Amino acid sequence: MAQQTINIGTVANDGTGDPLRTAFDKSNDNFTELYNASGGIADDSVTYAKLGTEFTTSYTLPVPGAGLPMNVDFSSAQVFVTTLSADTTISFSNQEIGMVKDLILTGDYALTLPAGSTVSGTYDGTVENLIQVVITSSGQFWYSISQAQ
Amino acid sequence: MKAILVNGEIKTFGSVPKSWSDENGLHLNIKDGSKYGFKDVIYPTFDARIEELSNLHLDGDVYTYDVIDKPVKGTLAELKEQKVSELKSMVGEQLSATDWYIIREADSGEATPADVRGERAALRTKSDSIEAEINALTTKKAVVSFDINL
Repeated sequence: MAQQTINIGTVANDGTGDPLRTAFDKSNDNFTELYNASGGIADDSVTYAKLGTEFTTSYTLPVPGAGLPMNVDFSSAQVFVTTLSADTTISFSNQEIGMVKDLILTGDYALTLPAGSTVSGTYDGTVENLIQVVITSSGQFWYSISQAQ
Repeated sequence: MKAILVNGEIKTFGSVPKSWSDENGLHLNIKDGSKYGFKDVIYPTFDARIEELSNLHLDGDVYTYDVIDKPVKGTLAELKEQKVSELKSMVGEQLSATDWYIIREADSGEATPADVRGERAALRTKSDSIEAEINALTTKKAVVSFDINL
């Protein structure tokens, strides 16, 4: 059902708006549709286009200053890309349990992941690496590292 | 060989591992282990017959071992007997190379060349001399580390 909008007239008491009963009937219909869907959103109603940019965009991580970590802000993008130019420490921010992010990293340098990291696969600095990280609990990060065959 | 101190214990590796976890995180694709505390293990020279390595420890910027005496089994007399036996075995092996001259002479009467006789006699003389050296040794360590040079 398309949203029903209550006609409120042009100015107060001009007699052109919806009668009170009609107005609340529209209101009830709108609320009924919302409450019938889990969490107020109808099944199959969330499309890719409705997702936030943190789930749909790619971001090129800048090279950090000397001695600083390369921060991956989970609220900023879904895919993070960079080419290492020195030994690099990765840090995370705005991560929440259950989040999954993709890092595409290249560069034959040492890569340090935050404490609490568990890795499956091997980082190969000579090729492009897809690193998928899952936040399994607070301070726990699981990674899967793969390369093109 | 590389080593690193972890929770008060020195751990050794054939080479720096490709990944290493410590309080700072999980390090992947490690190129320079020294950044994470890995140091070279230096092996001191030692005589494996009488010495062994013990007590891996940090010495300056490398890990190394102490060289300690290895326990030697057997009495001094037994070790001397064993060393003399080894000497006689070596002498016998060298003599066997020219034994056929002696056998031929015994069988056919054809004389053994003088230089061969001279070499065999010199070998026996040297063997006697070395045996005397062995019997003059006074410690088990000296006997075990004695090199027989014929």
